[in-house]
Amino acid sequence: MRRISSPEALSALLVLLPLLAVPWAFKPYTANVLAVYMIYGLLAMSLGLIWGYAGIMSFGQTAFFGIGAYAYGAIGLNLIDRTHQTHAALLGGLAAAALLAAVVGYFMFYGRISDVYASIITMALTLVLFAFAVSTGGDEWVIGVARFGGFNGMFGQGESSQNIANFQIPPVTLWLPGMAAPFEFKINRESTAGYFLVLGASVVIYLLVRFLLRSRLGRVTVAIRENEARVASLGYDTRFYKLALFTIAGAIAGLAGMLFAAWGRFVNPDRFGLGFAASTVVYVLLGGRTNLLGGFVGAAIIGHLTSYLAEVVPFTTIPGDAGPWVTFLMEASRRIVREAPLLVQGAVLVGVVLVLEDGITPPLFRFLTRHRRWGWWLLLPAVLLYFGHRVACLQADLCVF
Amino acid sequence: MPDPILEVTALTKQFGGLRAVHLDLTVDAGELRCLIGPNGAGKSTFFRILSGGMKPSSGTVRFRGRDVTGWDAFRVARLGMSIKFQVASILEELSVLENLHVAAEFRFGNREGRRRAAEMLEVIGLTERAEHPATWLSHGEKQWLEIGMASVGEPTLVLLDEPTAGMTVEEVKKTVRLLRRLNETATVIVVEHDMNFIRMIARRVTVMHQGEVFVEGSMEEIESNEGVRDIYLGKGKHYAVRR
Repeated sequence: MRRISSPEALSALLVLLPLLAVPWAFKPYTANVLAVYMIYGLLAMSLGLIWGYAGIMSFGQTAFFGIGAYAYGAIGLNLIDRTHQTHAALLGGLAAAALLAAVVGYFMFYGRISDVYASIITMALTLVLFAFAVSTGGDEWVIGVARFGGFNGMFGQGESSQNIANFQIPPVTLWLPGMAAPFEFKINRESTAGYFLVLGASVVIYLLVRFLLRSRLGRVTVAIRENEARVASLGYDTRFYKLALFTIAGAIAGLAGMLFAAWGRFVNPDRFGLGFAASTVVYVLLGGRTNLLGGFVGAAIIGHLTSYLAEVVPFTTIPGDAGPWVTFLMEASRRIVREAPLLVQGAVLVGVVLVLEDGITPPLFRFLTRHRRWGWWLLLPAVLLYFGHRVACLQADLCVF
Repeated sequence: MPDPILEVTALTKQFGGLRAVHLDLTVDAGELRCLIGPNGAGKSTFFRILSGGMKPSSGTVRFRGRDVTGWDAFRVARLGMSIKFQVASILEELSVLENLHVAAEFRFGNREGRRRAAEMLEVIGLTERAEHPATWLSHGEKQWLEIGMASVGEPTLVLLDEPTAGMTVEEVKKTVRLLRRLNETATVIVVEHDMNFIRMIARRVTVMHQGEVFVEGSMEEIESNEGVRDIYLGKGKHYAVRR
């Protein structure tokens, strides 16, 4: 009973039950949007892992995300017609991201580059990749049928690409022994299989990382964050441990990149851009870097805020008899909200970071831990009731409220 | 006659025009050696060079018969040397038990490391505080925790840089007991300023002054040495620069 009443079990139920119900409780669009938040969350978790737990701030975690996406796209576009699955593309994307992280990490950590410079180097890496990716618009930038496409992003060419399905990066497609036909994890108006793939990958990676943090590697990297000189004087080669965690985080970012390429069936150089790199840092700061779920929470909040603000139009009409100052203020607030949601996001970030030093998730968990009895008796039933009602309403047209 | 565990030959450390360390020193296995000297004598710099935290300008350090000059800290530690730094250097956000577990795990692995960490908790008297974050500990407790971390991996040589700094009399007595216990299995070199503490533990004392070994001998010999008194009180001919 003690085990079942643990705050971990409560948190898992409060998070997982709604996420599992989403495809039945809302339109597929919601699931698709949530899937991309989770993909960004996975990327943010990889940053939180090395930043929050090992104290290494990688400003260019998006480099590994982008490499994973491009490698998956290039291999997937070339092989999908022949093999009808994307196993090699998945492995290739993961390997490319992990290899890049291992090489960059090796030179950083074995070259004894300090933490501030590690941030600058990783940022430079993603910007170099951005500059490279945008310069690949020419006809010569082709791997098989996969064309890099410069600013326009990666697409397939050749005879088969006359069909739009072959023109785009393929969705994650499995054809395992024993399966009669390949299974595509599509995300569109009919299918939410891709949503469950992203959810499943997020849950599995989260559990694996939690397990990892409880292993020797996790303990030592946390210890390195606290006091590297002390850890080295205990006999640990701190460079190796930092490299190992950095490579794992790079691989997770690469996985997120592959899921992104498969989700949107598209990848362009923006994934290497400064804006996306900064957004990832914001997700982690907002959500909290000392909790693995922080990245997911930050990504969901910023993502939702962005799409919400894009729809909000305050003061659609400004009264003709309004004074000049009122007109100015109304017009200014309309422009800020409509045309510069980033400003509002920034304000939210500054506000949250000033008030909550650790970001949103850690204090939320502390609150839930302290009041878990209420969580079990009030919060969980409320969530179950709401989502149960949503599912009944949408699936069987049984709307009570 | 016991074998020397540490042989330091013509070791120097130069910071620009300042020669912070310039010494020869031999420590036998099983010794409890005290290293004293006024502020700026080069004791902590010497410890940092020994433990791999700093590269020397010249000279050699032989530890357990191997030339370890300029080795990285982790390699020196793997050969059996551990250090308690001058400023308490613990893993502040980790629990007291986790601090000791990380320290023991390298040598003994996860399970055995945890068992040894729990044993060490009793030795340093912090069993009640096992689950507390190390940052909650008092100054003296932090010092004991670090001594525990430095000794839980069963090193052959332990360097302790000012283990009783800022401690009460009772805390100093407890530290003396800890040190004696540690010395049963390991060679210990202690840098200290507290002469009462040194009287309680020392068999052989080395006095450093301006980076060099000024004099070496028993506590009685050191205390009766006029030059040592001059150094500490800052007067007399011995206080002048000797180079």
